[in-house]
Amino acid sequence: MTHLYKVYAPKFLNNFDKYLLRNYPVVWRTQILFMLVYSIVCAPLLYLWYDSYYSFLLLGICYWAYRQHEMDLPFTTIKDTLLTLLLYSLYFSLLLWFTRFDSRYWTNPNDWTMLFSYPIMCSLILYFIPLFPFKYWSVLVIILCWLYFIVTDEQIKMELGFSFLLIPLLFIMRISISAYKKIYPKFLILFVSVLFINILSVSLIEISIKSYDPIFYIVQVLGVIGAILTTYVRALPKR
Amino acid sequence: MIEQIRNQADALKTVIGQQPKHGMDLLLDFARLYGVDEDVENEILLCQYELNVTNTEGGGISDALKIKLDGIADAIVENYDPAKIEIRVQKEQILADNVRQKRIRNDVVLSANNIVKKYRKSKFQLKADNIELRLGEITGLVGENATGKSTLLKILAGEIVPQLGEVNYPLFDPKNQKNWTDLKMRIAYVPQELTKWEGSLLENLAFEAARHGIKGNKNKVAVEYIIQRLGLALHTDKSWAELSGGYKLRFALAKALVWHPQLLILDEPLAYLDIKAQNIVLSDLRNLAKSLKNHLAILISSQHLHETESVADQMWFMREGVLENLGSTNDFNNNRDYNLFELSCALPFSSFHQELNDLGRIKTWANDEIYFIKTPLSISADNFIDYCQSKKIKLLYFRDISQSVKTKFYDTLI
Repeated sequence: MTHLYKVYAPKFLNNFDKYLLRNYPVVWRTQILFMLVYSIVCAPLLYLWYDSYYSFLLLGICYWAYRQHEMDLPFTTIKDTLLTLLLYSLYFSLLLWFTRFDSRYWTNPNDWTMLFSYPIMCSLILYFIPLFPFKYWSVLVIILCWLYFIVTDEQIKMELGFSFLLIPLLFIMRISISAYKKIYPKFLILFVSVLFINILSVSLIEISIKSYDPIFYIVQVLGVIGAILTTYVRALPKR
Repeated sequence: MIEQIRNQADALKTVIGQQPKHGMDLLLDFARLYGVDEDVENEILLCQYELNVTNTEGGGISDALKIKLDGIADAIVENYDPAKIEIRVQKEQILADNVRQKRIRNDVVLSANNIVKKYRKSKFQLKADNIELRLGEITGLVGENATGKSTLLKILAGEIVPQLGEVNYPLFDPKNQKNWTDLKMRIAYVPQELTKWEGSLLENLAFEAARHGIKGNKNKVAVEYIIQRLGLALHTDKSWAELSGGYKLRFALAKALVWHPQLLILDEPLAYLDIKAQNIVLSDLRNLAKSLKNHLAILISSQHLHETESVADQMWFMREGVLENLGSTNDFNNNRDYNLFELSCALPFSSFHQELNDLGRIKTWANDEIYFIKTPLSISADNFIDYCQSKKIKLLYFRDISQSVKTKFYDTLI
């Protein structure tokens, strides 16, 4: 089974992907090669044609997040975890660097710390998506929360806010009453998660204007420690 | 002699041109007989893989591959040297003797004592003591259903933690620091319920080998070799959903074997395999365990008792959660005072029982269509078959299970 993004990629790219697979498995798993090519080479071309870089790119990132979720995080060492986070951050740094002058999306385009701070936040969210215990809708929720967090444009935020309201409705429609009873605790956790991330994203956007705020860094450090701990805990035998 | 071999090689080349698959099987046998080293055999196995991948219709062979195979056949003839072959045979003999006498490095890979596992909502309790797995040995674990076999394997593989007792991995973790992120990278565990994977089979195998340090060209060779050995060549581009249960299991085995682990724990690996695949897998496991280059400790649980026994060095038996170490398969039941036969025949059990009256003090019982006969040691399997022939009892199936672990399943009746 070959994914579409590989089918339409030039042969040398697929060959390089195979090289990464056989020599650098952690880099290969992130599929960063294709993301870089599609978002940094193809998306700007589309931007020339249609005046919205992110409308194409966000779709790509959503698909990327979903693919990472599908591939799961196979058992990794702490070194692999840190390398994965570094690669994700590198991708988002490059992305922000390309779009740093577009004031529609970023409140503080001249703030260079944004090139480091935001990518770490984004990479942490991307990293935790495969580990999230619930499938499908929960992934969608996280992706939307994540977009809500990184996008500061008021119009887009409002649209995303409506999507949040729709999700629980879609979730309930998708399942029968008996199944709903069984997964009620999960639903509750999901609902709390949405609320929590929503509040968190709003607070973080507030502080993003003064992005030297220590809370921002504390959140990042805690996130990285969380990722390392998760790797360690996943390896432990279960009780 | 050399002329004779050259003629055989020429004949083989013709067969390869006409019937590539059959020809390559013959070439493999030819290499085993006259080749001076094992690399030639590996090269032929890789060519078989190439043929399967490039020629899925089962038709002809590509010119490049034909030239390569002809080259291999010629090289075998050119390098043929009876003295070298004699040395190779002697070397293999010495290795086999060493293995038999257990002179290979048989370090303890896993040891566990006083293991106890209880579940809160169940009365079931698992108890296991004096567990030891050594490099180069295969251990078979058998027992009735729901006796805790899978739980024990999970404990030993570091998937779940017992309430009491401790599992140690002296070879991987001599200081007993329990660094699970490293330990888990060195234990290959194939569970009964296989987990779904994404992507193609080939990608998964290459990824698994690469993340265990087999990189570059070695990765390619290791993956192609395991694909060929486990008969997965026609399925390399398939995803999880496209594979049958048997192939999913073969894939899981390939994934575990591709990176040459030193501890392999398999939970019911024969369950979904056909007879042919069972034999291939068991023979591979035996070769892998005894291989002097990458020998490993294997623990295998299975309901295929005779097949498991045939490859195992030691057997474990579980009943109602308690593990019994039965020791070496060669020594099992050596001190018995009876023989036990398992058979089926066309006669109903009552008639069959009457026909055995002349044998004297014997005990019989039936388990559906299968009959069991316990005889004194003086009546051997040969004697019993002769007796049945003299009474014109047509045996449909017969097996001497006197030294089989199967006796443990019937020890209340014995």
